[in-house]
Amino acid sequence: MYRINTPTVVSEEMDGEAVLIHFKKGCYYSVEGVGAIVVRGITEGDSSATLASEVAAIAAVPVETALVAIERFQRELLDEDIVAYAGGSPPAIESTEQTEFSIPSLEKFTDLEDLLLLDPIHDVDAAGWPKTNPADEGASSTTD
Amino acid sequence: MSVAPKRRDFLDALADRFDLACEKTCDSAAHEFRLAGNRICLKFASRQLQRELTAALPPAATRDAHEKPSLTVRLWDSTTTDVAAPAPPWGPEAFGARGEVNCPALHPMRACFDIEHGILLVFDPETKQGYAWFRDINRIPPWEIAAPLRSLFGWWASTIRGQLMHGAAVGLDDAAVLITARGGSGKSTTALACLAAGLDYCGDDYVLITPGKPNQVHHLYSTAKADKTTLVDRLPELVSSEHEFDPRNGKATLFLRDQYAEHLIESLPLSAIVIPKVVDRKETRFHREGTGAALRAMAPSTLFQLPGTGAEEFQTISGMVRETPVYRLELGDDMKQVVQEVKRLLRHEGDAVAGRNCSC
Repeated sequence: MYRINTPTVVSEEMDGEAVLIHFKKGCYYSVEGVGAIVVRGITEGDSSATLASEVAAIAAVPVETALVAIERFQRELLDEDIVAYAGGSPPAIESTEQTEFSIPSLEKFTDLEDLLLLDPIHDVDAAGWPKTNPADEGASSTTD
Repeated sequence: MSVAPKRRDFLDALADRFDLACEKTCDSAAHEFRLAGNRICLKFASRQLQRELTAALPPAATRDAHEKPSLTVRLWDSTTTDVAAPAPPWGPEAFGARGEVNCPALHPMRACFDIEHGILLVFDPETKQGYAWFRDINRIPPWEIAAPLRSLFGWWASTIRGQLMHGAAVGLDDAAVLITARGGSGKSTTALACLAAGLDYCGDDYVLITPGKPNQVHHLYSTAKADKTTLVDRLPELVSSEHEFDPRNGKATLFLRDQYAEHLIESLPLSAIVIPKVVDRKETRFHREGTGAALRAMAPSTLFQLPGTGAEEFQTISGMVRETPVYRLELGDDMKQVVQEVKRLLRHEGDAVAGRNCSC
């Protein structure tokens, strides 16, 4: 079963659109329609089978078709580190058959990536504060 | 050592360092102002640091001697005082991608450290005390001077169920719109055009939102950023020979407090969220927009720039968006028409808010 990769990832659904934020990558995502339903289902702990029944009813497709599409979408979420798989490795997707039904891909936004540090771990000064400038060795009054 | 003493020891050590810094300078100063109806007290170990960091903040406000501050922040730097911050009670692995300190042992204390500029911010929500240490007063970056202690105010805001929001806000006749979008979308230009035309102004980059019926927008920073092209071509009335344009992004920080004091409004009811987008035509138009678009426009840029925020703050922003009408503002070339359309929206939504709140 998949779960949202909290607290690194947060998600909210609003008017049929799921908005997700990844706090380590500096990306955010949007998915609408059936994709938002799947994200909601993962958030609520629904199994893939449960989601497949719901999606099949909405999209008027066979449950098996919905399940394959959901599993592909979940892999996309996994590849983006939005979800984690609880309990070992995720199962292989059983069908390689191409169908007309698929869940729309995540829309990914990377315009704010620069706001996050690439490497938050740095050298530290004599008092233990990170520094980027070798000259930053702290003031003289540092007795503890 | 148990959890609580470790946090208390660090907070006590910060207080001791601040007191030592004040003794070193014999030049301490204070700045008090009101934010969302609360008394905020900033204590500086030196007047030089006070001058650096208060130009963007609300003006000093008189106070009732019996009113306890809702937030007290003690600030010092090592350049003028030769006093550093105490050693951190956490290792370098505790620093997150936004500079936040992830140390559950010190909960509920919040902290972040700007590694590049050597700036430490600490907030204790239990005592409403904050600390700000600057390793080098000469290396305080322009955005810190334009919006000082942003993270600290953000942490404090959550104690009053508020949220510091990335966005501009302008108002008219007791109604305000929150203008929010990623950089380059016309947010600042729209807000400054409205200010220049005489509308009320709550901020350009960050404002405080508190819950209510309706939610309230509060002014914090009286600065705005604009590039040379925008100022010269679209807002010549704001051009000043004192503006210094940052060579890295071509933008200057405008300090608006003195010239536009009567338009800087402490608080206004929030009546709409506006997502601007520049279009290649003369006319400006409004369209209703979905709440998901507003959440995407506001939440990531707000939360990525506020260390230590996460699911709780995302929910707060989502809740506010759900309660507020959202519009897309297609910005044409004619700045006068942009202002007219913003005024029209303010009057329309302001009437709607008044109607929604009418108990008759």
